[in-house]
Amino acid sequence: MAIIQTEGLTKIYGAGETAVTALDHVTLGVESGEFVAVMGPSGCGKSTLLHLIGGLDRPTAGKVWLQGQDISTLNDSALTELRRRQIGFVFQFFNLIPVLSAAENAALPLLLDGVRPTEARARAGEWLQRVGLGDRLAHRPDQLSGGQQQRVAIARALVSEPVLVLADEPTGNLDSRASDELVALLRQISREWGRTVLMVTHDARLAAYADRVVFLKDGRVVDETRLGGGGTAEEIADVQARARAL
Amino acid sequence: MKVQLTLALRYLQGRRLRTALTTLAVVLGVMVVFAFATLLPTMTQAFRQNMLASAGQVDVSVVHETGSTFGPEVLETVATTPGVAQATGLLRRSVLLPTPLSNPANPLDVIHALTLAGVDTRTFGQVRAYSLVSGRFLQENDRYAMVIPEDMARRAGLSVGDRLVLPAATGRASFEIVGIVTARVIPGAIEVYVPLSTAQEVLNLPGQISDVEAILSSGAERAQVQAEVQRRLGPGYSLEGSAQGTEFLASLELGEIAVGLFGFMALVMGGFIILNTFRTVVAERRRDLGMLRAVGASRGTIVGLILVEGAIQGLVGALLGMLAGYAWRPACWRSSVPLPGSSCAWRSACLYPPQRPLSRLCSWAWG
Repeated sequence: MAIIQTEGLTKIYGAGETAVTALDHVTLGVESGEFVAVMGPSGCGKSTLLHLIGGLDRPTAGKVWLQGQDISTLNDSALTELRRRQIGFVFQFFNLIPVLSAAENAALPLLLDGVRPTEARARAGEWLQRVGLGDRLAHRPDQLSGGQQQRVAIARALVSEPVLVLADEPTGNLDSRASDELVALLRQISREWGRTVLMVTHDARLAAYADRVVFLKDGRVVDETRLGGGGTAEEIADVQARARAL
Repeated sequence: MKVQLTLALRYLQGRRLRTALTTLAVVLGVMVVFAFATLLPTMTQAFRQNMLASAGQVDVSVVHETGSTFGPEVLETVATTPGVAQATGLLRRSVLLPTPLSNPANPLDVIHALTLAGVDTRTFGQVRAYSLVSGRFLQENDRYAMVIPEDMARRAGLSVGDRLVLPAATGRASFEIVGIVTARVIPGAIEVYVPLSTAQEVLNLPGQISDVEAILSSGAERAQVQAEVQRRLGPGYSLEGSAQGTEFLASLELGEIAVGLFGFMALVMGGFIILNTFRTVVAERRRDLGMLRAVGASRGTIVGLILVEGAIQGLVGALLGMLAGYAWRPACWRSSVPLPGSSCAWRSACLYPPQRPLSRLCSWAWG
């Protein structure tokens, strides 16, 4: 069953002569529990696609269904609630609140949803434990490494038990070792914890860990490939070759 | 609300330097606004007094047509007329000196008579501006104290601490000269100031006054107020005022507008500081706010977060700013008018040496 389905998804920024088409009639389906990587050159519309699917922006045309619900027609408060309960976001620059501890950062979606602080912190602590930061609960972001900060961001994305995790260049600010660990974690989120993961990346090596790689160019889906998700040399070579062909 | 409060407090605690700087900006903004808001009416009034003093005038002066004295009810009538900011009663009488005064250095310049002016020490300074050359002005508990004009001191060779004997109803009265002021421009007259009660006693005119002088509120229509005073007093009283000289009145009004403009600019400046500070806080926090929206914070939550943080800082900053503004007022005064020998802002407003900015403004406006 497709947990995400887009149909003719189009996003045009500006109007008239200055109009820029970021997405051009993208139709894409993602199955429940699937780990999908989106690749493409800069400006091809990868992040725009993620923002539209995550309800952070509204399409110019086309529709987005999440678990069968058309989210392109939802009002602002319904979209806010959707993001809080059904979608988890991971950003390139971690975007943690610098004055909160790791546990408080991870608990934010629950706190915003009205969960009592003690319960929210306990649940955040469990997720931080699962991502390997059980001993860093009271640390502030500036006391953590880049990889650890991104793990806190992942715990924050998962703490409200969302069906979908959207990761926008999650390894863009990490070294290769931390990147490998993070992608392995995303893989685990998909395979073991049953969440659907949609990841935007430039790195073919990391994309090769996904179940499927979708290639975008000039706002359109131009190619896609299914992988075993093991990140083997053949799979990496295949993704690299397709990326070079864009 | 709890999330906003938690986040606001954490932001305030977590970024102490930023919090301190932002609060300082609010403190400065509020301080400027508070100080000027509380000072402005007094400053305008002081400016008016200085201007009138430099021209030897008050807004309204009431005397009896026959030159006789009258009771304090006339002062009360003038003081309660709408548009009158402050009124004071004086007892003025010419006095022949038992011993003419002269300076040995210039024996031909002899003073035979002077005008004894009994002034109410509580209200005189609020109506008449005077500038001390030395010593002090009359105080409430003074009895046989006298303030003389500078030219008299020069011509008679008198200085602070000397004594001057005047004829009195009971014989003679000896006054100690406690202060010297710059001379008023009254052709052919030398006016010395003594406490009103002492003048009434010396002249044997208990409870009587001969003049009422008043200064108008800022913005009051001069002709209208003078007409109203005349109507209330009825016939028998003569009104004199600064209506003479439209150029002077135009300068006075221009100067008052300038002082009012300073206050307005201070208000705008304070408001701008506070607004810009919070705009900077929001701009700095854009990434955090965007993330909060992404993880499910509503617009109301975001606005609430900024407002709670702003309210905490605004409250603390405003309180500190008001205290600082209150404390700053004397300093602000000193930059415009000095406070020699007086802790009373009203009275200090009447004292100005020519080098002060407000006095310079007077000079500029007066041309």
